[in-house]
Parts: sequence; C-alpha cells; structure tokens
Amino acid sequence: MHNTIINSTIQSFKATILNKIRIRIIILTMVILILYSITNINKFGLNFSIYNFVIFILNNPLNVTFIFTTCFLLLIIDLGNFKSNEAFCILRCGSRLNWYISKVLCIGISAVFFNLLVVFLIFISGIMKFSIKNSWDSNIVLLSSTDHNFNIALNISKELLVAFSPLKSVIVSIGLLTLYLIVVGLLNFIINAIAKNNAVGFLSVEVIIFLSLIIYKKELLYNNLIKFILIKNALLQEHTFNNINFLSTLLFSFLYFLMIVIILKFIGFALFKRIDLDNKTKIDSYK
Amino acid sequence: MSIIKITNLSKTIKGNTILNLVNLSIEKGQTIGIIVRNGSGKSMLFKSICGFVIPTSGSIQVFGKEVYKDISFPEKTGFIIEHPGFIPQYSGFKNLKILADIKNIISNDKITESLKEVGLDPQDKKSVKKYSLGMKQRLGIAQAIMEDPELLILDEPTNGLDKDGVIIIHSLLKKLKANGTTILMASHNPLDIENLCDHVYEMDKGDILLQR
Repeated sequence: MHNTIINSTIQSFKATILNKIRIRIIILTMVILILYSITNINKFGLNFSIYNFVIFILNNPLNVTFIFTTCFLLLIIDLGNFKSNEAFCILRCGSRLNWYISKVLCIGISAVFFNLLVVFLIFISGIMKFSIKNSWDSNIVLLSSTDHNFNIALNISKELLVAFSPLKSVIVSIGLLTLYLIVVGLLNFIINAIAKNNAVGFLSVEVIIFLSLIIYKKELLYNNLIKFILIKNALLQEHTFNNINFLSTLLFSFLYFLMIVIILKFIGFALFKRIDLDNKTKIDSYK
Repeated sequence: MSIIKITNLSKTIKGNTILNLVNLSIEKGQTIGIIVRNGSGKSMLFKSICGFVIPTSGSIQVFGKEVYKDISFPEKTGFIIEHPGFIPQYSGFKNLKILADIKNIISNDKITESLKEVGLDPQDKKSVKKYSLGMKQRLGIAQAIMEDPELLILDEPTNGLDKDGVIIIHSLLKKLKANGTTILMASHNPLDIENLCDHVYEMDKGDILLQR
C-alpha cells in the first residue's frame, strides 16, 4: 500500500513539473524578480553576501504574497483535476485515501522543489555580484542595531543577525516558506475540489493571502492574535529569538503550520470521501 | 457468480436525474453491450461502477464487494471512459510504465506485449501529443488490459479507430472473452455490439432495458 502511495506521488510530481510552459513562466518571473532585486539591494551600497540576497528576496512579504504564492499555485493548479491520466492513476491507487495522501505528498514535494528552484536561480543570478562568505558584514550589523527602517528594507531583524548565521537564516527561511506553500497548496487543492473549478480555487487562495497581508501590514489585529497571521509565520524576520511577546518563535510557527496542515488534511480527506471524482460531466447534456 | 450486481442505482446531480433505478447483473465471462444515445447516462453508470461517482441511492457490487462502502474502487478492473488521457510529453510506453509503476505488478515485457496487442509499436519514441485519436484510443485499451484485469469496462472502445484498428480491437476483445474476462462495453457502433456481446441493453435518459 505504501509503495502505491509513493509511486502515485512520483507520477503526480512528474506530471506537475513536466508542464514546460508553466515552468518557463515561473523561471522567467523569478529571473525578472531577481534582477529587479539586485538593482534594489545595490542601492544600499553595502557589502552583501549571496545569503543576504537570498534572505532579501525570500523574506519580502510582497514577494511571498504576490509572486511566490501565485507562481506556486500556477505550478500545482490542476493537481486535483481529473485531466490527463488521473482517472487511470486513481483506480490503481486502490482507495480514495491512498490517492488523497499521494496528492498531499505531491504538494509537499512541489513546495520543496519550487523553493529549491527559486534559491538555485537566485544563486546563479547573484553569484557574480555577491560574496559567498557565511558571516554578516559589520556595517550591516551596525546599521541593523540602530535603524529599524534599514531592517524593514532588507527583510532582516536585529535579533536575527545575532541568533543565526547567514546560511542558517537561508535554510530556516526555505523551511518556513515551504511550510507556508504547503498550506497554500492544500487550501487551493481543497477549494478546487469543492468548486470543481481551478480559477475559483486560485482566486480564493489569492484573496485569503492578500487579506492576510493587509492584516499584517496594517496591524489590524491585537498583538497576541497577529501571531496567527499566515504570512507573518512565513517570514523569518518576523520571529523572535529573545522571546519578544508579540512575535512568534520558530517553534510556534512550526507547530502553527503543522496544525493547519493536519486540519486541512483531515478536511480534505473528509471531503474527498464524499465527492464525485469527476469534473468532466456536463449536467446540461442530461437535461 | 455475478461479477457486477447493480441494484436500484440512482444518481441525481443538481436536481437532474442522470441514473434512474438502474438494475443490472453481469455474470463471469459474459460480454455485455449497452447501446446508448448522447446524454443517456452511460458514462455516469461506468464512473459509478469504477467508484469515481458516488450513487445517490442503490448499490453496486463488484466481485462481491460494495463499491464506495467496502471498497473505494473495484479491484482487478481495467477501463476506459470517455477520451483516454495521458501525459502528452511522454511516449506511449513511458505513459503505461508510469501507470504500471503505481501497482508495480507487471514487468516491462507485459507493457510491450499489451502495446503490440493493440497494434502500437512499443519502440515508438513519439510523444503522445503527436498521436492521432485512434492511436490514443489503442493506448487507452493497452492501458486497460496490461494488468490482466478480470473485468473490463470499455466506453466506446472503437471510437476514432480506422477499419484495421476496429478489427484488431475486436479480435483482442474476443481473445480476452475466450480467456474468461468479463466485459461491459458501451458503443454507438452496432458492429461492436453484434460481434462481441452476449447480451445487449439499451440505455436512454438514465434507464436501462434488456434488448436481447
């Protein structure tokens, strides 16, 4: 049974990444974003490492909300569709649970793939411009400790520079972003299944994430509740390493994402047990 | 022994009755044909038997197990419903290999043999997106038979096939029937029904009636 799930996951993932048009659109979008970000970070006139640059891109709330979320949704948008060879796969999975688990795993693998692709593109685009040293530049540490706006502009925090090395910050950022994208992917998968329409799922998730960004930016919730904003938990600089009350710890974010994934997974399974695995039927032809 | 036993099966979607108290019993080794009109509910019936669609009422038993209650999907079953879909960037062999890897019960030789049986070249590296409708249909049938199913559910098996293709598929289905495979097929083509079927039903507006 486990082999069936793994094999079905692999086939789903292959089908996902084989869509050359989508992969090209994602790569092109990312390259444009990276080149634009190089121009922006160079304006600071400081000695940045490639790790700084990765953090600068991965932890920008606008990038995460509008570009990463959109591109990732584009990658997995038709995962739950019964297009292509899906019907043949479903029957071979043996049960709805096996099929559903394979799709959840595929979303997870796709999130990891997406993040690694983004980081790879940042590295090959920025390697000639930035150093590879795994330590924070003294000027950055100095400015960070005195200028809050500098931290906001660079997507770092004073505490982060003390707590983590640049490489460790990159790895943790990738981890947070992966968990965030898994949540986004599951939401999209479930809404698509309910609506039987990819556009509805895509737009619904975009609206949820956009509202999350507005609440985060405008600080529309009390300090203790703002910890529960999706986007806030995806950004490394929004975490405390000194137990500052209104900021999340990494453990909190990990548990937060884990809880949402578990809840969504159960909602999804309860749903897929009860719905028709068919979005081709046109009711009008039976009227 | 009934391989398929459908009792009072109904399916209603958004107030439209698509299947209306369908009763059908198919014994082991039989080939049953359903003559259909567009919008008769045939695809919905086949999807219900395969477990993709959940009945509004009634029950479907396949190999003695109730679909949707005892099992999600029927075991030892091959099928094609509507237009068979494949990953367009891969060759026919690679598409079948990916599907075969899910259950992992057959070898590459069996895939090759299935492709040959439907008249496709296993060595053909051409991607499926370059296949004609008839070639896709043959690939769909190869997919359905490659794991030696005991039950075959075929929706328009000769759709898009040329004269030679029809002969190859008819001969293949006769061979499978002789080997004891139970076949349920729907077709617009009277030749499929006349040449292959033991019993013929007619389906219209969600109702099914024995014709001969």
